[in-house]
Amino acid sequence: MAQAIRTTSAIPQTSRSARWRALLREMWKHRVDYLFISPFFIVFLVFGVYPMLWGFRLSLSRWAGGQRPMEWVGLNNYIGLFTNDPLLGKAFLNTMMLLGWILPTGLAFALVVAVMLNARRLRGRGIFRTLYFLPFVTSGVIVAIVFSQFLDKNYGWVNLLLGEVGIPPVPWLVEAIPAQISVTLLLHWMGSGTNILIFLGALQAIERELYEAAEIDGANAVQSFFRITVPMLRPVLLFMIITATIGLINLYAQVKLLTNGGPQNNTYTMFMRMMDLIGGNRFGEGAALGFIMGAVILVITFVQLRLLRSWWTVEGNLKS
Amino acid sequence: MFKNTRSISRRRFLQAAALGATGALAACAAPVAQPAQPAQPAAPAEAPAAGSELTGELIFWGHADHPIYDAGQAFMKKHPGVTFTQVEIIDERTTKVEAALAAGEGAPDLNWLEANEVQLYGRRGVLLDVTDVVKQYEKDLVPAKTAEALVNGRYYGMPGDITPNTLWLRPDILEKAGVPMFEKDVKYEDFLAAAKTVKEKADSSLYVFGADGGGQSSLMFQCPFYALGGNVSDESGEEILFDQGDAAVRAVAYAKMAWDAGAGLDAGWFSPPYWAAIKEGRLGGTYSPPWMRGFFETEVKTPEAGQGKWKSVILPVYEGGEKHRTNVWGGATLCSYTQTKVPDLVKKFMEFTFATMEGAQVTADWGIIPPYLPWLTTRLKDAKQTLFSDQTWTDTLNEALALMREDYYRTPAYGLSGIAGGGPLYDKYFIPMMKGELDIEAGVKQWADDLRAENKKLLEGLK
Amino acid sequence: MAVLASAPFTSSSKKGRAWSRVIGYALLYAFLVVLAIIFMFPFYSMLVGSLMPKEELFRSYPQLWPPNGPQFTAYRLLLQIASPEEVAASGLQNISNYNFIRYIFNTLLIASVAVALQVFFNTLAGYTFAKRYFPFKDQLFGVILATLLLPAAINFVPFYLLVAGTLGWKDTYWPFWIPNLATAFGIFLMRQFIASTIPDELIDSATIDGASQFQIVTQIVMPIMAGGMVVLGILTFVAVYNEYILTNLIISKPDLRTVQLFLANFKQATIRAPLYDLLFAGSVMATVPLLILFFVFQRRLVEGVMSGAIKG
Repeated sequence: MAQAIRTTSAIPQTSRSARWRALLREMWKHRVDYLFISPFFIVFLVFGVYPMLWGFRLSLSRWAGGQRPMEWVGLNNYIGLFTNDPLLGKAFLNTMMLLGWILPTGLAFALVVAVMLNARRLRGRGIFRTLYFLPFVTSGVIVAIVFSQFLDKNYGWVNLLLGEVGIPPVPWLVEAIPAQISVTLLLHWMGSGTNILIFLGALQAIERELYEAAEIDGANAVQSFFRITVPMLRPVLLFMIITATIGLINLYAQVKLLTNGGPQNNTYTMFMRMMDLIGGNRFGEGAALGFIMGAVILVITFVQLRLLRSWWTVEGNLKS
Repeated sequence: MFKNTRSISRRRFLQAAALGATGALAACAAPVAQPAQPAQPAAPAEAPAAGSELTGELIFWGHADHPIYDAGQAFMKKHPGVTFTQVEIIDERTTKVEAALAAGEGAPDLNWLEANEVQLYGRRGVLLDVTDVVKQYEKDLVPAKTAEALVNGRYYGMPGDITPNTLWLRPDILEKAGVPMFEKDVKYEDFLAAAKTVKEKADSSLYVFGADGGGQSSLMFQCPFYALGGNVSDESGEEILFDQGDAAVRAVAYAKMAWDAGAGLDAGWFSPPYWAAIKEGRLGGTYSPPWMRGFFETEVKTPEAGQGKWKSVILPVYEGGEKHRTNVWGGATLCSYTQTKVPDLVKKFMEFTFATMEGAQVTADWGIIPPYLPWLTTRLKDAKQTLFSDQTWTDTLNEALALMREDYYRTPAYGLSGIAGGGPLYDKYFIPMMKGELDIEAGVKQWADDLRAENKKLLEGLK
Repeated sequence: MAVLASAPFTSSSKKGRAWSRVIGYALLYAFLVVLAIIFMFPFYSMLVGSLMPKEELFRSYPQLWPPNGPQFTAYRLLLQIASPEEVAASGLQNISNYNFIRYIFNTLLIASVAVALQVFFNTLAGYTFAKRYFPFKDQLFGVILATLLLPAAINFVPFYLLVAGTLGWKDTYWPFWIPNLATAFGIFLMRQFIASTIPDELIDSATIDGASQFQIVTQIVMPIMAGGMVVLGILTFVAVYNEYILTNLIISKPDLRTVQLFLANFKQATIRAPLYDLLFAGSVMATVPLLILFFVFQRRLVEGVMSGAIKG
């Protein structure tokens, strides 16, 4: 923030109004920049802020839908959710567990595959890429149908194949832990497509010259990977971590279709609790849960950003 | 193929795609005889009677392929001045309806709602009051069904399809296992014993009981619960009666007997393995509501798969539940919203659909069972179907109708409890009780307590 | 592993090096092929399912190939070229009212315009945040990030009130284009891409040469970021293409339907059986344009336009 006021430091000023005028002048100097970023703020103000404010007001009220007025109840909704919601605790644990497991493995896997697809002289690269993109475009409904077919305890292919090697049928979708594993697999399957795609996009922009220079210096593949690829990818990695976190905490559709909250609510996520509240006409509490989830994301993201703040850009990350 | 750079591969791909597309189109074009015409139901040519001066537009929100759509077409034929349009919606109708309610306009003129939804929306005061229509035909409509649309003494919808549950069986599979066909008053315990034999000898189940306990499996609980006089709440929906008396506890115990017998079909309701089991004869019987017939008939299309081989009989007897040997599961009500601009036209449509022989016939042809007694007592026996071996299923249905209770309340609390096929509370308690991890009496009590808390919050939101 | 960073092994014998490269490639291919099969199987299952008559669907074991040969009934039904018998047997009343091609066209239209707008504005903003300095830059970017945090589920009511009520955009396509002119996700993505890959010297030398901001973005940044823009474009396209919650809320007129909204009809399981055969066939047809689009554009991902950009 301070860089913007460069021009004023040379001239000793003490009056506040003078500093204000300098600030405004600086902003006017950069008016094109503000113009470039304005579309987001304009549409957000109209279409984002208003619903959010309304939602916030709702979270502090009781509302029966329709044309009824909202009745102010202060923090009751929030307190109620924390103290005596029969399902929120479990939902929270489930969500955190899924997050903790899927985030690192999913991203690592996607990165490795993206690097493989980026290999020089790989033939049929386009075909592979298109095929790997399939999970992303296959309708979620179909995926749920097919996965539940494949994971059926008695007649699914997965258990059939496992049976070939002597493993007894696993109750994939009907016992707690196998159901959680199934959800994890499903998410890996669906999410890899996007992640691989984004990593590829970033990888291709890393110049070959860097790698060639490293080759000449005698680095082998693994060293190149960790010394060149990963550092140059850090801003993108950070992006992936944050968006994946947000996506995982907001998990709903896939799980609902596959296990509908799972055997005995073992795959019940926070978002599902929110939707149940909305469906049960408890709009105020649903809105409150939405904001609670936002707070959770905020905390986690904040921690991530602090820990990884050096990943924001690539300056000074390359060791030659 | 991968001789050179990507450009060749891409060209090859486009060539292959073009070839493939041409081939597919050729295959598509081959058996076309003439442009497709929809098969219109043969509506009797009626001379437009006194009602032909009706005009206006009716908008109906419902999923594709709906009995009300058929009724709408018939209504339009009778009243050429009326336009009936269906907007096809998907499961998330709640969002669309809630948005329209909040906006104060945009709600449909007609909507097909479940019993607990009628209660919920009725209490919120957003449904059109149609007491005059319903009262006019009260004596011709099945009382147990009419009661579902009653909120605080007023009717908020026209009774739709009735759903007395019966036991569906395949006598040929029973025979294969050497089990004699059930007597009229077969006891539940004997039914289970027979089920075990059938499972052993013919590898077939006589009831559905998936490991998740949801969907149709919940009938193993619902049916005894209904028969023994249980109720989730009182009529107003405010007081939870779930743990009153012993209906719930005994029903859970009966369900547990079925679980322990291990002779049920372990498949998720409507899942691919479920359909596979039906078509391959691994399901030889099941508790079922009438509307499952439509589903079965869509999948069971050949005699090998069971077409024309099923039989419908009254449910087994639960001790103490002889008077009401059936259950109610599903079954909707035709409603409208206070926002509608054509309330009189709506009422005329409701009257046509479920209070005339013509309307009843049209909807029955689609596959539901209308609640119109004059039709039920005369024409039900001719209803078209392909699943059952003969029309005795209609006798069974009429018999089950007489066994229905008028004091079974499907309020919003009913929906919350999850007994109608699953839900967070149901999942939390039912299976642990089945597995024996949770004592039944304690489990039912906890379930009821959770239900009380949730119901209280729901009702507060409605005030 | 040897092929990954294109670095040769520093091993002694030339023959050993060649062999390990072959094995490396072989393993690589094997792995990629297995992955491809895993990624493909639901789509393949869907494809096979769409070619089977609905009575045969859902046997005990998922089929690898239609047992009685592929049948295109479901496709014919959807494309309105089926015979009357097929229509009667289909179990769907008014199938002739459905204009599937029209729905695909609608969906493509909505998605294309949305992508064009979003890619353009997001890149503009992403560049500005990545490479420019101006007052309150960090705070503004923080606000953008913060907007990612809130789940939108509860907000459909005010959104609807605003969009359909106040603005009167019911049954139009504006709600797909305007509220998402620039998105937090898109700006974030482009910013990180640009920060990753475009060296400051390039921008500085252009500025010295007298280029305006707009020229810098369109003539320097965008060509280099072609890969990133393609990624954003594809992600956006698919997201808009598959969207149906918003669509369900806004669109009531049948002719304006999108393909996802239409297909969702077929999975209704309340009164009638879900019509799996039509669902599968429709999904296959809906997915194919996406795949073609992707295959055509993914080439841009590959060409490292970077080389040649840093000269002098």
